[in-house]
Amino acid sequence: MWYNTSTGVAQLLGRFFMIIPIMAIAGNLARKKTVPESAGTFPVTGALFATLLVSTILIVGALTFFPALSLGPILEHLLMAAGKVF
Amino acid sequence: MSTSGQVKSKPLADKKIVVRAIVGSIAKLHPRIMVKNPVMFVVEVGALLTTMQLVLDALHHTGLFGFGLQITLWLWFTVLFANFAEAMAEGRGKAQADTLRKARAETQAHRLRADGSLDVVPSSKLRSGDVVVVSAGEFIPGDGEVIEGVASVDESAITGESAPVIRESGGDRSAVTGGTRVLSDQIRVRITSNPGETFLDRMIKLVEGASRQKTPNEIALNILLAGLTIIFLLAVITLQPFAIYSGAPQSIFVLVSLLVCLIPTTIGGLLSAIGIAGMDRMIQRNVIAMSGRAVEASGDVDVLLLDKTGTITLGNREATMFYPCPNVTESELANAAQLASLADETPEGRSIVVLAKDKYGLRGREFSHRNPIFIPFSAQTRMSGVDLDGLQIRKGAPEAILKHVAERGQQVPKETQQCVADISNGGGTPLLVAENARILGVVALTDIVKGGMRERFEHLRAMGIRTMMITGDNPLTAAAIARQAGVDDFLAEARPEDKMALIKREQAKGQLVAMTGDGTNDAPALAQADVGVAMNTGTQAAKEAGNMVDLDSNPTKLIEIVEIGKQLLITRGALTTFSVANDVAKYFAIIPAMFAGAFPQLNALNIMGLATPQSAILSAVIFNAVIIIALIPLALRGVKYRPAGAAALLRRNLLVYGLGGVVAPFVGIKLIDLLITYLHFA
Repeated sequence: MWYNTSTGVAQLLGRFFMIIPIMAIAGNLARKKTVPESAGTFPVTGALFATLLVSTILIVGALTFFPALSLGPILEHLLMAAGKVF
Repeated sequence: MSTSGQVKSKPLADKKIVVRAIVGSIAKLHPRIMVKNPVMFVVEVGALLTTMQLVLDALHHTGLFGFGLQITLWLWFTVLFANFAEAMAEGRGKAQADTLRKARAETQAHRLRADGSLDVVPSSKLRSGDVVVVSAGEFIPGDGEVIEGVASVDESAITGESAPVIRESGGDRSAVTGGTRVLSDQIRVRITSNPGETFLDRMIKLVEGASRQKTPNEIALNILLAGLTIIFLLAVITLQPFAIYSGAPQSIFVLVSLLVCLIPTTIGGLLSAIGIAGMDRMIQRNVIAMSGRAVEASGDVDVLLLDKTGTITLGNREATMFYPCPNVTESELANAAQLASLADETPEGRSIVVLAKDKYGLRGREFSHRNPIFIPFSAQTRMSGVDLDGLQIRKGAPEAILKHVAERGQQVPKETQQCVADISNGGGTPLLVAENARILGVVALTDIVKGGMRERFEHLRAMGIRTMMITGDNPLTAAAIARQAGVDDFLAEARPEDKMALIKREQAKGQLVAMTGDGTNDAPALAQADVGVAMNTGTQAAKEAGNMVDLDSNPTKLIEIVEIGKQLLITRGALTTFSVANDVAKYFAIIPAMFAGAFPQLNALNIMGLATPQSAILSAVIFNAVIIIALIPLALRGVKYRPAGAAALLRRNLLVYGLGGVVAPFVGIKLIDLLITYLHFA
């Protein structure tokens, strides 16, 4: 009962609560002035930007879950490889 | 032309500043100051928690006391190091403020009463609107405007320049600054500022960082860092239930260590130091920025408005060639041109006299017996000259002279008309010389473009900054000089209101505009521009309107200001990237260590091969603290800046600070681990 309820609440929060800050960012961006492109503008097409974006997501996003993952699936894998299954 | 040679280079640290910074970093531990920096505040709270746990452990003789003590100490060091970075940056400004304060010493002022008599009052009693008389040898008691007289003034207290400057009533050289000294003559000054609000007072506050406010960019970055901190706080807090479930609950030391290593302490600790150092770099180049916001805006500038005269070209046009009409010899023309210019005190007139002397050996000669009548230049006639025994020699703008000879029924030779057009198209200014109704020829005045300007504009273009030349010249002349100097665009026949309209137009397109100016008529445009650099020799109105003052009064410095601004923004970005990229290695150090006791298999993640769980966690915390100290010089000096486009700069800095930020801590943590294992600390 406790786990069912708490994971339910956590999922609700995780899914819908996050919308609020995202909407706030979107609103803020919409109010910004557009700046014409020049040689001083960061090019947002090409491999450089893609690398930057992907590594940011990996470091900031994925690594946040690294502690939980390492106790969960990663540990499970290592234990399984050592011949211990649950 | 380049002013980089004048940079007053200060050593990065001298003993006095360091000692003061160490004391300052302890004083800054006060929570009320710390809370302004959310990242470091979290570290301080963490350090407090571990300290309390340490005391409890000591009382109950539980836990690993040595390990807890070391973690706690290094957490406090992390906070202290960050405070030290800020105190170091401020200390450099404070040393400068002390020098300035000496110049602000109380002086006696001779205030003019309404009835014309003088009374002696201390300078601190002067109010805006008072009129004072300052004689040779006396200090000017406050900021003001010269309303009567001319004097040479020693402004070295403010500018560091020992050569005296001339200050006179009227015109653009009328502003005087409190604390400077009159060397000769006597002037009347109308005071324009109240005590405590003078230029010197503001300068002291600025270099001390007392009136420092967070800039928009800093606020945005702080929000980002606070956001990251909250995310990592949640990640660490939720880890404990996981750990308990797995049967490996963690001590407060380990959890706080993990948190402190994950939150971006490196940039959090150095952020304000970078901002202060940016202002300091301006001051070293003798530019006083009125706010950090101005320094930052200068890094984002898209368009530079540069006045032609004094910025792109050397001060004045000079006579460079004589082009005689057919049937006139060159020396005849030179002779007439020199005669017509003898009484002409303008730089152009003087350059004609000099050219005639250099080329034809014509010197000033005795002709007072010929009853000369000198005709000075006037805006109406646009001519100057001399009348000698019925000979009327005139020189002036082509239209004026053409009218002059046409009134006397003469035509201008075709060749001469062609010559005038050629000179104009080539960027020069033609002057016609006439003797009575006969045109003798043309004198070409040319602008001399300063050396190295073309390369500088190319650098700016590479950075994505457009340069625009502003001039009162006609479009033809302007186009020729623009081409010669290599600017992107120009505004010809510009009046002050045109300048203003141009700035507004660019800003409406979303561009940030920077400009320099010194005259009162520049003031509105200086206020409108995103970065307005006023010259110190300029009027009080211009200095009030701009958000920076260049004490050297060198308009070319605008380019350096932009570079400093860019460097500030790049340094901030580079260290943020470095700080976040560091997290990868710290995860690999701490996570396996946390659970190695319960699950030895997790040691597979210990890719650095750190000795023990304790040494791994301790190494990560030590690295996290030491890297702040190691990066202080970089934060104060700024990332090495090279002019290049955004993409090239980004690629380079990502490689150095992004990839470097991932790799460096792997090496650093391993080395620290080897060291503390060798020393048997853990």
